[in-house]
Amino acid sequence: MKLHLRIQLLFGFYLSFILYSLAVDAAAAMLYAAYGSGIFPMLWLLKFMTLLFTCYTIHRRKKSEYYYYYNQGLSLRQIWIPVLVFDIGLFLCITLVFHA
Amino acid sequence: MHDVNTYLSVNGVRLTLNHRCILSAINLQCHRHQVTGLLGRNGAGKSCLFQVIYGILPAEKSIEFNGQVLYAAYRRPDLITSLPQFHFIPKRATIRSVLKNFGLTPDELLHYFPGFRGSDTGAMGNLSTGERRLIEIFTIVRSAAAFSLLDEPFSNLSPLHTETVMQLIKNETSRKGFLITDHRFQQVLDIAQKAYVLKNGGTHLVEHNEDLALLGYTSYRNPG
Repeated sequence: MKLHLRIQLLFGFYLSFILYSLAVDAAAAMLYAAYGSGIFPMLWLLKFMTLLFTCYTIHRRKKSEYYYYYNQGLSLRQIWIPVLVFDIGLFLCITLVFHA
Repeated sequence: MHDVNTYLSVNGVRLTLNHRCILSAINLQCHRHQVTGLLGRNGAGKSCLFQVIYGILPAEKSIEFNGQVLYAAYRRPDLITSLPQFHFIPKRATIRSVLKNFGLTPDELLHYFPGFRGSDTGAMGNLSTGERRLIEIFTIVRSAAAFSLLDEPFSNLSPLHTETVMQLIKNETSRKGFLITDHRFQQVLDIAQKAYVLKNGGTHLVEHNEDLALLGYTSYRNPG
């Protein structure tokens, strides 16, 4: 599969929960700004728990849409792993930007 | 490009769900340039069999493509694509982007379904249930795969669209093969070169129309 098509499909999937994710990232960033780096382990816990909940909810709600990605040759792992890596990377970037 | 004798062979499928044996004696072959029908009552296990063939439902099985074992067919969209019986294209996707992802153009869609003229930039979520289904059927039937599994392609379609879809499938057999299941069995039999009935977990080849009644799929009718 061509890289741009893969990115387009993964981004389309990420759009299904980007708002929840960004809301958590923004909340974490504000907490970080208010309480400093000491709160960082708590923020990771917050991100981890909310991400777990989001994944569970999206997995249940969007189960039927997996066929769309299967028919393009993407397996569940190939969908979820890059999207989660990107999401956690985004979380890290946002908190680091606030730290700076 | 696959040769004329390309085939998909499904054997030795054994599927148990909640201690109930769903599939146990499956033996079917689909050939390129052919439509193979799979008929069966509600709960017979047709959709489960499709999911097993597609590799997304774990089961004991032997799926072969041209003699080569295929473990996870869904990872090979060049070999098999699958139309589930529910909507599978995200609502936010536009018709144009969906067609593009499957390597298709709006003109190809309009050739069969002119009713979509002017709406190809719209989102799937703005379409009616039947229209969404048409797009989904079109993309899978026209996909570049050697075989397509179609689970209830005629449900939610008007008679006119059913005829168009039947014609579309017939036309596409010039380059690929289909395995179809639908409760509108007459339509399936009209386009299928071969049909099986799924009963008691096993497949039974239908050689004559009377076999459908003998296998308990249709009610017995006295020819007199």
